[in-house]
Amino acid sequence: MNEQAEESKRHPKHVEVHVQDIKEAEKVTFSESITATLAQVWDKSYVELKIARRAKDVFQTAGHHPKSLMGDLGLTLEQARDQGVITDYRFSIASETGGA
Amino acid sequence: MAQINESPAIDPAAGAAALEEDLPRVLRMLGATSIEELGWSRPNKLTLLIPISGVHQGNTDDYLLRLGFHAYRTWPPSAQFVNPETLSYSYPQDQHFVPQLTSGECRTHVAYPHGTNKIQLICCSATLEFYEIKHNVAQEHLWSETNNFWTTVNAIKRAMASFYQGPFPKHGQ
Repeated sequence: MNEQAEESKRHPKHVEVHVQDIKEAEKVTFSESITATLAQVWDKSYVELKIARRAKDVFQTAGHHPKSLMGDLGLTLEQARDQGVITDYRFSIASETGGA
Repeated sequence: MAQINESPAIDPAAGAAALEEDLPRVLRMLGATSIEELGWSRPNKLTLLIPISGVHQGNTDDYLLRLGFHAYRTWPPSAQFVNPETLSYSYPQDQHFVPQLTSGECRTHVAYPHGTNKIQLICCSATLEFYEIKHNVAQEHLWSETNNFWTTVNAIKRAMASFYQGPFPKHGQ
């Protein structure tokens, strides 16, 4: 394996992204460049899920402790990973709720 | 669709049917084939028990969320944190089984006035109790019957991830 291939394996330019849409209870997986912003990943999620964006949708991490990414949408996947904003490439689209 | 200032209508048969419909969809989305795989249990047709944890000051605390589906899906599920031994909630002795959540989208109260009673309130537009007490709510946050119970669990989990302040103190302490 040449040096470039090894580098590519260590730091892939594309990653597999998993997105759940909670309202529709659907999920999708697609490949995305690590230089794509979270906003771009969110936008592409609607296309891949074949659903329309709804008012009050929220983009968040998936998993046991989902965190809103609405303040980090300008970060690329790579930046979000390196800054510890995300720990993997699993996301979900949820609805904002009211309360308090 | 839920309406502002309308009292939730109880319809256990519809609630059980809606849960039967939604459970496989939610399990599939979560990549699971059974509720047991996720640590959940369903003691009866209208109840789901879902463990939820929170981390505060380095400590992980475990809670048990009980969802009730007697008015579902026109209305959201009832949501209460319960004593894991009794699977119920009695104030004040069980208040330490409730996490302190202080999110603007989801806040917990261990004894919220409701008529002549005091109830546990997970103050969030995705819980039935929120409508039972006729809490103010913006039109865009009203529960829609196109939602499912994971909307409720997710709202609570999101508050747990970022706005968890530890458990309410044990009664008498």
